[in-house]
Amino acid sequence: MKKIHYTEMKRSCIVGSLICLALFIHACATFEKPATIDEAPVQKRALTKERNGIRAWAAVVSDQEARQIFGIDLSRKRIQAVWLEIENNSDHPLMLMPTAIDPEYFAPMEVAFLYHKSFAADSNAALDEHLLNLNFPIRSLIEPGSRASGYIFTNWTWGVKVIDVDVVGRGFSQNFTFFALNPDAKQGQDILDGIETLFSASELQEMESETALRNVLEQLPCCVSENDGTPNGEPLNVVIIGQIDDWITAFARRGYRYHLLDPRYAFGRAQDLSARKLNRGYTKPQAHVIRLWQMPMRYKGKTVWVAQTGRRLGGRFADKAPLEVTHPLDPYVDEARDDIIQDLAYSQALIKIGHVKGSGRPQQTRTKASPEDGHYTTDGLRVVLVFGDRPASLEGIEFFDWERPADYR
Amino acid sequence: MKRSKSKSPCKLWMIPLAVLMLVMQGCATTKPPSVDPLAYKNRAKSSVNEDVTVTVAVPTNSEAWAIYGVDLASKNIQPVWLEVRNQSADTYWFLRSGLDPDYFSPSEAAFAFRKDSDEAYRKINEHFRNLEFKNPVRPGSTEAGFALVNLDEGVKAIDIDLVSREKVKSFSFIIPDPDFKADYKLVDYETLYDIGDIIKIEDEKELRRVLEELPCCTTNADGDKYGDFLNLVIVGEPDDIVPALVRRNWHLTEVMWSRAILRSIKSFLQGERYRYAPISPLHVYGRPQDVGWQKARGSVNERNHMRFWLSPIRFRGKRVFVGQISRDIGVKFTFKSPTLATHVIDPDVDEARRYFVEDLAYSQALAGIGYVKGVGVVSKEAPRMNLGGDPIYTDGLRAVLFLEPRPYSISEIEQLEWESPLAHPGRWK
Repeated sequence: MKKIHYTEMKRSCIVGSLICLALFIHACATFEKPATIDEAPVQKRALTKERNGIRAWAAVVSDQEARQIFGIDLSRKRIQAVWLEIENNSDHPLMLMPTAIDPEYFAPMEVAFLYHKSFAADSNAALDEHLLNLNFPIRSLIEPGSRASGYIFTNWTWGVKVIDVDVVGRGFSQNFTFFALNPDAKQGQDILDGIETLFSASELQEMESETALRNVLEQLPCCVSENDGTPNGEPLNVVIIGQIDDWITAFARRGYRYHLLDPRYAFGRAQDLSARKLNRGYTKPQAHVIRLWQMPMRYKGKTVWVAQTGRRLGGRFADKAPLEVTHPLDPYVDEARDDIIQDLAYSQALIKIGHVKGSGRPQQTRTKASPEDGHYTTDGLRVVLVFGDRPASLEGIEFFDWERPADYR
Repeated sequence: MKRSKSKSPCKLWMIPLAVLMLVMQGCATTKPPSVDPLAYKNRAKSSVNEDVTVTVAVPTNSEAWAIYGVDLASKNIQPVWLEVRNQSADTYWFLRSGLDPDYFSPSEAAFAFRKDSDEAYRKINEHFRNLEFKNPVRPGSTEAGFALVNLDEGVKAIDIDLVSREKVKSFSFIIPDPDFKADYKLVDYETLYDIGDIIKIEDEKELRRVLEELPCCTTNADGDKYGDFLNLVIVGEPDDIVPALVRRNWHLTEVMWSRAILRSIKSFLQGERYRYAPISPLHVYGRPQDVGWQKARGSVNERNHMRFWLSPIRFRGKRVFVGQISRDIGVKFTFKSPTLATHVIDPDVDEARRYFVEDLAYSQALAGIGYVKGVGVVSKEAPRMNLGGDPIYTDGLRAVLFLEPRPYSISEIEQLEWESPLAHPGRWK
């Protein structure tokens, strides 16, 4: 033990000297405010939507653009700026809620502090000032007839960024969802185009009655497959009904982000979208993944998606493996499904819950999954989650009078 | 203790300590302690809401070991025991996400203690699943069991949300851990003030006037130096406040930091994110904070923290707490602290206040929000210094948050026509 102690001490001396040296070198490259900043490409790329007299614009700032606008390399600290503009022609004074965009967003002074240099008080103060000025005026009301714009500092995401713009007024709230591309990662566009053009209007099956919906959902295949063969993989245990804007923001508010996962096959194709929970909180987020397929059907005008959710065996305690690898599967697959319902109940966007028979198997049957996954146990139900565009409190959630999970225990 | 900011230990002096801790860990026992596995039930607390009764208890780390047969605390897992007695006509479901948004399901937690053989893993899995609380709670029945959550040592704030088709019922508890009594000083709100000292207010205007007359700032222990601005007021009973904070991942934090600092060091070395980093005492009403809460973010250096004091004011029968919030943004070296390091707070303290209002807007417990005058404008050009020597500036207002038991969505929140926060420096067209 003594020996370890000694080497540790020796190492600490070396590390210490290196830190001093690094601090010294660092001090040379201080922040300088960019003489001119060119925001035109960002603003030109911005997506826009209007509702109830409120117009919102949103764009992701690329790492390169960030360097010339902010004068610092945001990507070095895994920070990504989002540009927003709100034009308020409604009667309500409005306020923007940046935690909807990223529950772990960074305050401008916090970003600045990360780039402060030793012995450089003046340039540090200039950086503070620069970032404060560029920040979206989140603390002030956007009065009727006025416009506000600026940047929100978020955690870096690859490809498509879901930007949930929530503005609230007195007894009023309005939500806009944007799928904004990081121009550095062009692949995102293909995903968005794919979703838009997957089904033509004539292919869509429109449903109005609960009974019709239930029948259709019970007929869907039980499971995914790993190689586009027979469906013997993880169960398709979630159905999502709602405009994509509404349900994706519900997931985003609870910490889910787009994440490319290993493919699973259903309906003759790999998943259209996949996501997992990512955050920078002090506890690791629950290790659930979800893969989603869009269905050629509408329920009361809302799109229908079928999904598979599960968790890798061991979840947060599993041995280190790439995040996109999701097997071996935790055999108690229903836990992940039940967790996701509870999580989304707090999203203020979930309005109705129901359960239908899914894999059609009686309770406690052990189903053979892929060879890597071995067996799993399920009650055979799939949960149906309906999302709306108005905020709903826990009390506002309704229930379909369908299967009762407790009967399948 | 005159420092207003908690200290983050400097890396250099931590290294020998780290080695010491590693050595000590090597000798740690792996045998379950001999304790009564049912002792926690003697400490159970109950709460009744109409025809539903909820009873909770938190086993100590050694009791949990005796119950589960493994040292849950070594993986930062803690069981919470819950009993729901349902004498209503509705079926209720318990939402674990309300208790801890990052709770553990039994099979995940069991995996952390897996043995080499499949059979042993299956056994431990079954054991964990048998102990788990099972939904739903049908009319006229009683269910009991455990939920596994992230470990809070010392004291645990608990929110039990039960939903039925018709109603949502929330129950809150603050449960101290008897093994850590010495570190905590839970304030008894009932005995803080004599009945004669209580200021009862029914009228909103009167409330506003009284809140504007509260002290501007915290002070040091001697009361001769101002510290951080008092920029928050919460109107609500602990049963309304605790669920809101717990749902949004806020944690109670300790004031005594002898043990906490050792834990900070350990977490720093193991690359963990330490949730118990202490916050040092500031004073209002001649006493240190009654309660401290923090919400850690990326690392031990990034967190939001707040301190609250119960005021003698009661608004429409509800308690009024006055508080202070700030955002830690990093660590700086300082000669003012024996550890040569201290947290740096965001000098733009209104940002943390704004964040908190928004965070609670998503908690479903915020029924109303207003702003009243507080310390007055302190400009960025001429900031004040807090007791930690950090510059701070503000628009001078304090946010007043009204919390209610029934869930509110963000569009239902009432905004009082009092003061408006000062215009932000951003860009306008």
